[in-house]
Amino acid sequence: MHVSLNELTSLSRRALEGVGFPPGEFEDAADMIVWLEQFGLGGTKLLAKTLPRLTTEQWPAVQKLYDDGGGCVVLRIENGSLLQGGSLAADMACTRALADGLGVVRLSGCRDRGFILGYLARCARRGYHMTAMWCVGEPRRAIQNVATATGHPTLPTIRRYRADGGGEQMADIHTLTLIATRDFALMPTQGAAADSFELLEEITPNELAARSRLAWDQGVDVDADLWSKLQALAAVKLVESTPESRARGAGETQQ
Amino acid sequence: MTAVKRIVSTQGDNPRPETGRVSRRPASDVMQLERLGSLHACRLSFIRTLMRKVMAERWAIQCRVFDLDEKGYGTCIYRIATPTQLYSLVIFSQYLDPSLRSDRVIANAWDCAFALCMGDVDDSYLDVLRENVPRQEAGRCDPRVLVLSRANRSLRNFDMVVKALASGQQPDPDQLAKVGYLYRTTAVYGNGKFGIADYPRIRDSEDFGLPFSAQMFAVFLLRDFSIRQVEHIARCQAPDTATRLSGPLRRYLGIGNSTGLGMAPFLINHPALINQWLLMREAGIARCLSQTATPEQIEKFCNLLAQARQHTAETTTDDARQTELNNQLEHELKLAEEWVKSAPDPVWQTLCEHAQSKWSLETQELIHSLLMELYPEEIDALEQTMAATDEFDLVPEMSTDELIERLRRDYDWALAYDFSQPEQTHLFWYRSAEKEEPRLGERNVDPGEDREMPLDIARQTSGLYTALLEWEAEQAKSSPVVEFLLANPQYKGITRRTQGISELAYGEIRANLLAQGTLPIHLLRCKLAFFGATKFDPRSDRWVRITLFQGAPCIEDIGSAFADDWWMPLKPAL
Repeated sequence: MHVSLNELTSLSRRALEGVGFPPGEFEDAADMIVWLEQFGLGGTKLLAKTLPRLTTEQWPAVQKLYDDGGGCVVLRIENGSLLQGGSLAADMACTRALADGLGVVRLSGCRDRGFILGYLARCARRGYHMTAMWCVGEPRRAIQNVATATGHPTLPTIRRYRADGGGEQMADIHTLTLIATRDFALMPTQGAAADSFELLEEITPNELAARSRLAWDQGVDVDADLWSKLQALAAVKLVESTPESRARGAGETQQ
Repeated sequence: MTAVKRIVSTQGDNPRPETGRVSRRPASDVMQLERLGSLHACRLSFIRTLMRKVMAERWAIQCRVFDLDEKGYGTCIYRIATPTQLYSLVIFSQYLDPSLRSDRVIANAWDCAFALCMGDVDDSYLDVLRENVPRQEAGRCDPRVLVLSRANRSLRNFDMVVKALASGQQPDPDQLAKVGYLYRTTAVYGNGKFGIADYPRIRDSEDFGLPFSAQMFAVFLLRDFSIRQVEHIARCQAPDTATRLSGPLRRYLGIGNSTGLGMAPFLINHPALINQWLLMREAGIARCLSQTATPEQIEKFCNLLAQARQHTAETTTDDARQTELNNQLEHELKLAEEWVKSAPDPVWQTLCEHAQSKWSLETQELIHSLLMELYPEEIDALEQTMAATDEFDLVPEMSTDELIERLRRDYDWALAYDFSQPEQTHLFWYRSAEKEEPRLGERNVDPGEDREMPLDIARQTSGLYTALLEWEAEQAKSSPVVEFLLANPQYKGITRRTQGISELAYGEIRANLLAQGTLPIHLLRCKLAFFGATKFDPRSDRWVRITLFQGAPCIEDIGSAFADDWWMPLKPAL
């Protein structure tokens, strides 16, 4: 199914509204999905994987486990998807960065953490430098994802490292760590310590910009089955038509 | 011959245009629903802007294929060369079973369907378009298509014009004054709908970067097709006697449009764009009011008032409310003409103050539109900053104290409603399963209030305000908004919206759209006025017919002198 980005955005928003996401959240969640798709990072494939659970789960409460009153906060989302309010963790990091110079938020018990990529650029355009880190895979054979978005350019640099430390370390594959600052000097850099990790992939802002241009020009491909499911979810918010609603609801017969 | 003038569209999301010594009107005046529903077209309307560009840049428009049978069914292709790009407009004209004829978006068949495409169209692509364009929403297009639309013939005019031309006569101008078009569009799709190009693909282009310019251009070419088609059918019917439509009548014919509630959510869901349109219009008005009127300008203004009065007199509608408004407008324009001749300085300011205290909203807003005609050098540059991107970001660090203050300052109108009163929530908006058409229901009467569309901005704001007060009472202090939203994610949307809009001059329509007696047609008219619509003909409080491009230059006029004075044309005297 070949669709435009606007179609994907519109249908994703309405489908997530149909799932029960509240106003504000269904737009943000859909925009994160579309962002990943626009930049060639598999937003709809990730959505297809998580959609069955999204449609059966209650909205999970985001709980604050720790707050030092300064720049460090630990949140827990009880195995919920990042789409379900996880963007507020990034907003929390930004808020603490503004107040204390550096904001560090760890969001534990969180699925689908890759979607956070779709929110980093929004934080960056507000003037924050953001880093997001999360591990995927098996605890002993994990891949560390590190995405860094700075105010200029707002598109992130995405790096993936082998993070298993030779299979001896247990990686935390359920936590997202977010670091925000408005001071460029405080940004984590790929320093000497990182040299000991094997860099698997790097995607630069220039590469992302090229992918985005292609998506705007040509549209994107979405799995037909997922598209049908999204349409069905969106249809939950539609009201069956009756002769009365056709006439009165749209004012056809009034004078 | 003068050099071709290039007009480059630029994007400026939130400029603060200079207004001179007169301030812009406050949002509390401008954003009243009834006032927005009284707006008229002006120099900044999109079809005015488009015609200035087409004429200044001398776009080369050629009807490359005109393959119609004797009944006017077939294919027509226009080739358009702008200074930078080639485009094609492909029109498919087909038989329409009278039982299927409907102006509603829920229709499935039309007299003609058309698409504005990038580049030339070869035979193989024409086949693809022929398969999909006539099906409209049921078809699929690709990003080579910029605009997808359809139109129905005006039953009142089409056959009458063909018959007149076939007999060698010109059609009756009185009839064309009543209905000033041969075709009426019922939807004009852009921005990625049904697989066509996303707006950002053309946003940075020099040709169609401004809002709705590609859509308006497609409609402009349909106007030319409609004239060619009736002339062709007349020629086929009576080759010996048929004549062409006279020049004045060609220009007097526009294109109709029928618009329903589908347009209403757009205004609520694009506050930054609406702000930009109104900001430019209000800046233009303020610039005009800053000018010192010369005798020549006063005389020209009186002429414009007289023309507008005559144009209004030639506007007919079956709607009793609009008829009354038109009669009042006509009367007050006469009063304005007399008043302005002896007005004290500063003339324009005192005129507008007098209008505000004595005359109807329609008259007030038409005077504003006419004033802009006097000062094109002050107004026309504003057209280049009519675009805006509706991307609000949450401001998570804003304190709940500040947000409460902003709500009290900018949403006092919303907080004044008492939503415990049934009349304040009498209506609800929903999306029908039938082509997803937005509709309006009566609460506790119509089904669907459990699936209400979130267009209840005033009610949401009121809920947010109450929740913030309760939150602060519980916390015994102010806190960053993000802390409030972690506990209350259901308020994220309205929080972000109110934060964002409170930074804008205009943007929020100040009305409770759920209230009993709300007239949604005001929303439609506001947007249509910015398109450049004239001759508003409400068919109910939720559905309106209008005319576009009536009086505009024809494509054969491109390259000739252009005075840009075609708006509000008068019935030609033959």
